[in-house]
Amino acid sequence: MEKGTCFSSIEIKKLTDLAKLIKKKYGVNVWFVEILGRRWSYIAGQRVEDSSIFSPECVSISERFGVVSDHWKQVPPKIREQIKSLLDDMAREYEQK
Amino acid sequence: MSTQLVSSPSVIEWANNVIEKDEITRYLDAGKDFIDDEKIKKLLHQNKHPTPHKVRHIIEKSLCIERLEPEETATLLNVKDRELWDEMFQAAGEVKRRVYDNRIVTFAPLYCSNLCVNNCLYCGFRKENTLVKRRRLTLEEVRRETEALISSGHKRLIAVYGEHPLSDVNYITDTLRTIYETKVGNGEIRRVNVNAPPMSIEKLKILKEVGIGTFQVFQETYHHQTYKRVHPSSIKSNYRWRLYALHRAMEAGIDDVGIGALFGLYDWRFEVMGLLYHTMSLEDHFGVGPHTISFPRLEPAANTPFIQESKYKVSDEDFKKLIVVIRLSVPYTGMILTAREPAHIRKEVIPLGVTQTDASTRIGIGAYSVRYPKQEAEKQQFLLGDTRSLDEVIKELALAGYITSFCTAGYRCGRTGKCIMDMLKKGKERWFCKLNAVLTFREWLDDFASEETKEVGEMIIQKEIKEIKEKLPKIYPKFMEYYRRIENGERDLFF
Repeated sequence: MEKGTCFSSIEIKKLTDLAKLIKKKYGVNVWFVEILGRRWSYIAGQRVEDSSIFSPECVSISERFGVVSDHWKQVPPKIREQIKSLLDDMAREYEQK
Repeated sequence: MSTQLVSSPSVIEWANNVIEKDEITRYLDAGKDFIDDEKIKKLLHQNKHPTPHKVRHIIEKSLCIERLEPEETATLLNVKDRELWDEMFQAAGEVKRRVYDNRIVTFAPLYCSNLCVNNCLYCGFRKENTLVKRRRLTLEEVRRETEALISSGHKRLIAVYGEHPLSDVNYITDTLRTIYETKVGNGEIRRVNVNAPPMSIEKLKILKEVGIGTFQVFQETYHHQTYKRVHPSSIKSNYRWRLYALHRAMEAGIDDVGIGALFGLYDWRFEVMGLLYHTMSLEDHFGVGPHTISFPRLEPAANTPFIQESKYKVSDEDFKKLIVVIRLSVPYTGMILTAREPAHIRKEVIPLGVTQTDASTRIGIGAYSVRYPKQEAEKQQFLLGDTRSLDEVIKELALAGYITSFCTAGYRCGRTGKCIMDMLKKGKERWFCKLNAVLTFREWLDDFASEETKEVGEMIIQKEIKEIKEKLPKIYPKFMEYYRRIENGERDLFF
């Protein structure tokens, strides 16, 4: 499920689909967050409710956005680059709003 | 000085420009807000004399962690049978355990400013109360207050502000940054919640950027006529501007919000219904309801005769009932009990579903760093019932079988807004609560506890660890790794 207030439904859907794909292909839980000081605010992604309890890896992708995952390093570098690119695009659009 | 602070042309002009009318009307339904006074009264009237079967059916629904419908809450509010109330009391405690486990989160309030343009009849800070000493903390004073709080072991604060141009969103964000930047040895404040006046969406976006925990605005009373009577002038006299404060917050991207009512202004049953309708409206609009519900009672305040004259003051027995019904009505939302209440009442009501409470509270502006031993009514919004230290409160909680938690993990790793609410509803978040309670309690015992409290605390910790080993065998090794690292001096490890 998504946070639908600050981000477009298209952006939310892209991130949600990406998280589902990563879970399916690599067995890794990923969710996308907006970084606001100490607060990492959930945007979209695979839910922890669908997996077991874990210690979260919190990874800053940019100043504005990050990912929280259980096994981030198992996501191939190429996919991680795609995520970074998508989040950078979102950050640019966010700045313009 | 006080008169200039509230009556100068610039202050009046500021107050006249706060409300954005379109940021109310956009949420109305055919021109109406979501509190239908007559409908609430009708529901309370129609659901009198409920059968035990009906009540037990509703209790079962709560135990399945499902939010109640207004008719169901009205039914519970009409229960007279003592035995049924006992069952509801038990159920409320069980609901809390299923959602939030055995922990009680603790925090402290930090009153930053008592300048206010409003004139709420029940409040010690109302603008016409000339006996109150008006102050706004400088950033240096905020830092000193924070240091004092950190030095007692607090990790979570709620920063409180009056409604005034000198404590506008820019002041609020400056103070929050100061709080977050302040460190004392191993200690720091890891989460700051905010209790502040309603703002426009534009201002709320500014607040959002700081990275706060929960944003709270209490409606005080949901009853339209009472609201008008007790808020006679200025910004706060606008019922709907306040009512939709948290809708605007959600729209600005602040997705952890707190609602509350001040019990004693009007019929407590009506206010419980109001809190439910508020929850429902947020859920309908944004897919997520309040992160917390607060339920303070009217307390004495300097030069505030309204409080003595109110005919709706809530008895201790009714106070317990309203807590239970709120717990059962919205099983997954946090519930905050404050030090307004005396120690013996707090001890009695914590088992009824409370999830958070404050300790070592001082509500005078600048009171923590000055460390004055007695309350001073002319410096405070009201008089506190419980002024015990954090150590004393934690010891009492431990003796009652609760572990005190300083957890701030959720909002630092994406468990926020709808995400955390869904996890709470599904019973998943409680395990994070358990793990993080132990880890943060270990920190506090090692850094701050008295010998006496440490002894009691160790027993509780061992009990919790045993349960973690039994119920979370897969995560147990990682948990024990974190636990040992904390015992060895590392800090701020979380799940």
